[in-house]
Amino acid sequence: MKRILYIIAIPVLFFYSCSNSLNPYAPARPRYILNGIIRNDTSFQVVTITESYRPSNFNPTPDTEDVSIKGAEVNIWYNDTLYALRDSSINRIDTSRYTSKVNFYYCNNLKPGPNADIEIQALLPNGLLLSSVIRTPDVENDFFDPASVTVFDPTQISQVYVGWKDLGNVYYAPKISIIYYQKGDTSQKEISVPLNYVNQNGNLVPNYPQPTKINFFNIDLSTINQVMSSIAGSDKNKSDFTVSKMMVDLIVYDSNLSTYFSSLQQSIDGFTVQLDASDYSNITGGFGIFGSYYKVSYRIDITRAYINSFGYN
Amino acid sequence: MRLKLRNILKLISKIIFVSALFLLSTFSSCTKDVSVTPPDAPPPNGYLFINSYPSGFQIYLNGLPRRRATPDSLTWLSTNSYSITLKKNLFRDTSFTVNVVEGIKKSVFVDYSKNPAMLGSISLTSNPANAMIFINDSSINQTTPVTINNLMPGNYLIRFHAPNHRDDSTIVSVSSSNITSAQKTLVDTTLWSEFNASNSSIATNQLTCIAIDNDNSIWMGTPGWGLLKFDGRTWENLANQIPGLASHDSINCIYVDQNNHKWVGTEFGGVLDVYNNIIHAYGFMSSGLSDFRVTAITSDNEGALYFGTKGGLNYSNVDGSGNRTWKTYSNSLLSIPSNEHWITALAFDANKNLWIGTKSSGIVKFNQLDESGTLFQFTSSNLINNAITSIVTSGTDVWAGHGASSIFGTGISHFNGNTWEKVYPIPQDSYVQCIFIDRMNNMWIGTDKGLVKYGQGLDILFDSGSTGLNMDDVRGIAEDQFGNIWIATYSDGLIEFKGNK
Repeated sequence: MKRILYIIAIPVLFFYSCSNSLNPYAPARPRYILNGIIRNDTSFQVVTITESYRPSNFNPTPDTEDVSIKGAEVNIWYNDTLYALRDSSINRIDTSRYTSKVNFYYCNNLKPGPNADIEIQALLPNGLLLSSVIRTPDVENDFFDPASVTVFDPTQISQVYVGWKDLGNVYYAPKISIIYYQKGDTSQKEISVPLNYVNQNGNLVPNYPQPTKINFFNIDLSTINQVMSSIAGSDKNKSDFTVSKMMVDLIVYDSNLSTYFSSLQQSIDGFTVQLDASDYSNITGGFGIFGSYYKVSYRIDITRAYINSFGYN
Repeated sequence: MRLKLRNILKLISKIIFVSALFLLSTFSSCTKDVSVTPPDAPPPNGYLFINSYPSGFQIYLNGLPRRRATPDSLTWLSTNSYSITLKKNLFRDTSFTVNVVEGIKKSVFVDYSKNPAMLGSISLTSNPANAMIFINDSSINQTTPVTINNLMPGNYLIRFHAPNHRDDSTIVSVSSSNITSAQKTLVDTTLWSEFNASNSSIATNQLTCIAIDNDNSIWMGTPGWGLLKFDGRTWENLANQIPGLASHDSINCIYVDQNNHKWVGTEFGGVLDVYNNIIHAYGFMSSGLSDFRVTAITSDNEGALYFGTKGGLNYSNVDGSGNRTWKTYSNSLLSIPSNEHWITALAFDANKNLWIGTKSSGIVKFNQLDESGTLFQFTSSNLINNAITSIVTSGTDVWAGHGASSIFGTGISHFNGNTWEKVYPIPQDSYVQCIFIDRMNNMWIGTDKGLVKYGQGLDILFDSGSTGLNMDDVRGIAEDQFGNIWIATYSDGLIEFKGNK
């Protein structure tokens, strides 16, 4: 009987001694995120700094606390000149989750050139330093391929080809549009031109260019015909429309933005959390992305005969 | 009893066994291997305080500017060696290395006053010499010429003071390791007086012409502020007094006739006859003027008036009935080229010849008796060029000033009664804007680079460098009854020269 008692007591003691609680969550340690994209098409540059937080549950939407960091000293150096960013805030348009103002840091006197080093340092109020160094895309004056179409004349060519220099492993985001005016309205209007139209269940769906590593595009005459026809649409007074030109606005991402964009492409969808999702950051001392892009424009003239063939001026 | 003791011992051994088993199970079987991320290292807390004398130097850390100026601190630094550069306008850059250790507050003080290489000097000269020097309104008990050393870089207000001269001052910027020079010509108040908008009631500093009437009042034209009168004590602006004069507010020339009438040639409204503060306007429509832009006026000994305009030459006189009559001379009669209409200067010589200067076609001698004209141009008559701005006569001598350059330069053409000769009394590349001959037969030449006194074999240039006055744009010269020379300038108002007596 005593032996049975021992046999029972020993395992009970064994397991009883291990019954302490174990919390799988380590203490929350805030991480700091700096995001900023330096652009050449404006002198107004914006940087945001936020703090990570532990959501109350798997659904973070109930957490409405503003996580932006105020009071940091954010400096940008370009061409050995200091650009001291000031903190500011604006009212939030979408207040469905956050109701406080959007806080950001800005300067309005920095318009970088191509192939230039830009350094940022953000000294947070708690002494942490977030920093990064980038180089703007090397977009030279003769960036576009000389073989690119300069005048679109359907009697001579059946495609619009525009190419540009390959800067290596970076992304390009072209936007093609036709500029026109309408009688009685002095403002310039534009209509986007897709790469092509895809037939989906009998409907022609435009396929607009996405950021890509391919350094050229071709647009068929049929696509341009379709866009030209849609300028006036059902308006019978075609002569009220004056078509000016075709413009290509090309945004060239730098290597940091390109890598970041590439990492985003690996996501399955907006609801799936991948355990092996790539997480790119170029911020020393924290997380986030500090990058730049360079915007260049290319003009393509359209022959008057082609414009008039649609009834436009 | 022994049995009871044995049972007690047995019980104790069982308790010890069970306790040992419990402890063993507690400390050995529950060994857990839980991985925990080490805590974040705190941010570096190195601290560097930088101060300087003087303050306000921009702080650069490792070559990059920080938004800090001395005295200020750099915080959150890690243990390291840092290159610090201090920069301030006018100072040489100062660079040094500081070793910062976390947990220790480090302080650096830079005293620029102790470093001679950071200091600068001022070299001061004046005309006349021996002027006393005041720096920032404090006397330094030194006189010019002098060099003041070991000055902290910055801007200094330097004032020069000399007896019988007007004080003058200038702001001098001193920079590290440099000598900054400053020179001032002080106005001799025994020789010169000036009347400008800052020290008198003159309506403007821009004067276009000057004349002195028989009452010793000074009459001045302006390019938009009317007709000015100065009697030595008070200023009057007749544009403000006479209704309708505002339309004639741009004055090109003034002529005082033998009856003390002031004839005023305007840019927009013909001629004004000013007499005893009564003004009679002879406009383009109400007179016989060939153009409303009157640029030169003179009269002959009989009192007949001649008006040069931008549209030709006009004659006016009063007939026996007391009515004023007008006549316009044709270019062909005057021998002026048909494409030239702009008369710039008029003067009679001792032989009653009327000398007519033109804008760009030379000079004409017009004989009133036979009404014949003789044209002189630089291609045929040894003139410097054909651009005439002013004419004066002395006996049968004629002096014509030129307002443009040619291959012969700029200067004056002199007619001695028979031939023309070129005279160059004025600064190089300057243009003659007016000429005047005083009662002592000195010729005064107003140019766009100063005033020249020409006579008795001496050429004296009066400009800002020699007088301290801004006489860079002289537009008119006149002499009062006391022998004082009055100079109308286009930039600095009216200037009186008292040293001609």
